[in-house]
Amino acid sequence: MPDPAAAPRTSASAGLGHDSGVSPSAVPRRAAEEWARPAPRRKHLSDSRKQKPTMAPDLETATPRLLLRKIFQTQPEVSPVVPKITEPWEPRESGSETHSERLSNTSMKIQLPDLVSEDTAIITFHTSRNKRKLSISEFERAVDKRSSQNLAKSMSDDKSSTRSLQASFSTPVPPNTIEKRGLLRRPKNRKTVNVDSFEGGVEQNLLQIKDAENYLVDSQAVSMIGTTVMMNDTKIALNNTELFVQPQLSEKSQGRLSALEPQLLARNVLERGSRAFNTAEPESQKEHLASNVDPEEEMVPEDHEDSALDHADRSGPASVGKAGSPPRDHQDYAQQSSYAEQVSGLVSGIQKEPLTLNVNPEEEMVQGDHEDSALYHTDRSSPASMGKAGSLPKDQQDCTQQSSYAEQVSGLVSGTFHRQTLSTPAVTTSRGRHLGSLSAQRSTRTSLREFVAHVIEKLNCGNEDGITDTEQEIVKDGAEKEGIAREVTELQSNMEYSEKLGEKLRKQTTSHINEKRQARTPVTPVEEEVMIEDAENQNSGKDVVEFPENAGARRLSRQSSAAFTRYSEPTRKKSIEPVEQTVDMDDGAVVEDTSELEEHKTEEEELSEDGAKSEELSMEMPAFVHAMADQVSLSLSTPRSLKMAVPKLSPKPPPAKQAPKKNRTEQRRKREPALPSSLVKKIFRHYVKMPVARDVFKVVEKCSEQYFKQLSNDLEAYTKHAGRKTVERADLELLMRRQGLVTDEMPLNVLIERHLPLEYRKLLIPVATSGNKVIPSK
Amino acid sequence: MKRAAPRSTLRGLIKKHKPRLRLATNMEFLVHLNFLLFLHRLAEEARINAFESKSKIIKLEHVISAAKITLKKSRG
Repeated sequence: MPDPAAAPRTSASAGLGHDSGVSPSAVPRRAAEEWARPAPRRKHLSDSRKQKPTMAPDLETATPRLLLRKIFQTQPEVSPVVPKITEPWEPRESGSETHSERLSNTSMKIQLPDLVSEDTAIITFHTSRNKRKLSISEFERAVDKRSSQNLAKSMSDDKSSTRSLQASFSTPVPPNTIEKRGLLRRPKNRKTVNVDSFEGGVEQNLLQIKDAENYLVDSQAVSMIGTTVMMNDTKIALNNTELFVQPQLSEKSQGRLSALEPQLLARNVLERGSRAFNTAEPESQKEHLASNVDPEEEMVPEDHEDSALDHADRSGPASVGKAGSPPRDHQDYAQQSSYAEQVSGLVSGIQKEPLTLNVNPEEEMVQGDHEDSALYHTDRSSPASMGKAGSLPKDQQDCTQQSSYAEQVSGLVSGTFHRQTLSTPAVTTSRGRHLGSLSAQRSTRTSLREFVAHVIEKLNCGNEDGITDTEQEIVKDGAEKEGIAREVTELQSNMEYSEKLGEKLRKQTTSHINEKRQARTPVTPVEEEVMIEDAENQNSGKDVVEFPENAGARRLSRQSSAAFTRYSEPTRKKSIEPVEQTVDMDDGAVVEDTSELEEHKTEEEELSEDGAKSEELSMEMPAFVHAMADQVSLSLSTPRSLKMAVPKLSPKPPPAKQAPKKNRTEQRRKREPALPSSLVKKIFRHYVKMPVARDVFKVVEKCSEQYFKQLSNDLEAYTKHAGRKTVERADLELLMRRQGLVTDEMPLNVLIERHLPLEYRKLLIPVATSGNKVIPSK
Repeated sequence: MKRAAPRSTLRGLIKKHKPRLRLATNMEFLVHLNFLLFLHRLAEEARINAFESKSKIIKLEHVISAAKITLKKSRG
């Protein structure tokens, strides 16, 4: 064995020796390579044989078997890399040593400290690799770790080398073959680090999506993105959920509105009147409290009613939407809804419609006042509407105006409960409530209402004493309320005017009122109401006058305005300005109304400059009241029951809150089919090339809406003429031709090329390319 | 600086006015083109009006009168 083995060995070694002479490291490399081959191969024998001749002096002692055994043992553990590294070092370092010695040494070394050296070598190798790739995403690190671990496990040399190579190239190594020894150590770190580094890597990858090396990371990042997108979608979905709420409300409100317009009007009036009261209160405080109360009060209720009617008509739909949300519809549903609407959305509309209050509950007012005043605490809107609505149907003749107004004021806070209770002719009890409620409450609106309610009640009751008492109370309460009601300036102005009127009326016509009360119940309550109102709102007279105009009941308003103007010249002058302002604030229709009002005012101002206003008032009031009452009774055919008020008081505030939300979402929905305004602005600005005023864009938007209407009409006409149902290119070309945009000199394609970006041009104009291709293909 | 034509919005707009009417493919661009030209004409008219009134800013009156004329012209 040894001889034949030695012979080839010698030859081999000779050959090797030559080689070794040429490159000292060649032999060890070859040996290492041979060793690196997977699985025990017989080639190792050749290697060993090759080695053996060199190692002859040593091997002579060691048998080939021993050598082979050593080789076999060392093979699986030896990695191709390590021996390469280690072996060359030694031979290079010690050139004097014989190759055989080196080989043997290396082999021995390899054999003995296989695990150790290999591991260390591998580890060092991998760490270096890892260091290089620290910047790369965590995934790669993990991969590297895995690969290094695998190498450490001394899989086949090739595998490990390939893996290492792959790792070096930062390509993801399929972990199929990798054993999981080392994973035990790492996972903790990985998990902790993965998140942070991964996220960072994700971000990087997001930026460098095209990085081929990181495609795995990218996929992970995409998954992250997907989750975030999902989040957004859910959020959007959540946001969208609101949209669905609104339409219901709007529908309900609309339904209510259509059904209960008169009620709404009344309510609006009531609300506004109440608000006017509230606003007027503070102003009244500032100015005369008692002086103008009487005439103003009388005027105010009427005006309020008128204005309320007007407003109710206009704001009905709007208010319905707002207040309609609270689902309190029963008989007074409409009223309530209208009232609630008013309350919810009121600030703007309130000014105009203090009188509307009067309209509704003229009759109810009387009765409902009590309730309203008492209820003011809880729900201004709901009860007010309730009370007002209830009051109206009750006493059409009686100061419906007054009652309505008072009810509105008081009812706003009090709510339906009171109405219902008040419906019964328990005036005295209601009065007591009112009084108590009046004193108790500090809210401006409620105070106003209370006042009015008190007055109305007293008026309705037909108790002279009561009236006077109520008046006194009113004055007191008015003072209190005035201080409180400073919130709404416009309302205040209106209220002031009404107050002034009421005050005047009161003072001058107390006696008249009493007399009239007896004679005409409807008149007195109205007057008293007016007075009360005036007491509360000194300057609300103007508003009162204007309110009627704003309301649908222009006749009423005119009448009332006529009456009021006579009553309150001074107040008119003061209040005209604020009223006008308030009117302007409101819809344009209001402006028209105000003009009418002003005309009336001017006319009447000239007439009534004397102090005999009270007399005139008293005279006119009854007439006016009657007229108002008649009209109101005619217009308001709604039931006066107060059922609705009570249970719906509580839900009113939350529905009120929901209403605005729903309105917003509804508005958003309705606006969606419109072009984005920003786009229109941009395009227009680009074409105009000049500074443009801001309000111009609104006009441009409206113009574009109109344009689209025309456009759709034309296109439909053309398509129908062609017997088709789909708009085609020819239809559009015909349209442009008729518009004068496309002429014989200016074909459509030229326009397309000029104004549209390239992407669209490509889609619209087929382009022929080489190879008989047409883009877009047909 | 030009923005993409809001295709779906245009479709929705036409559908809002004429629910039964259909639009062929890529017809939104022609509609958009029409709209652009309309705005272009409107802007021209407004600019002329502003020039005539010797103001350096386009004001509401200029635009309103321009709109009347332009809408009439683009009735087809």
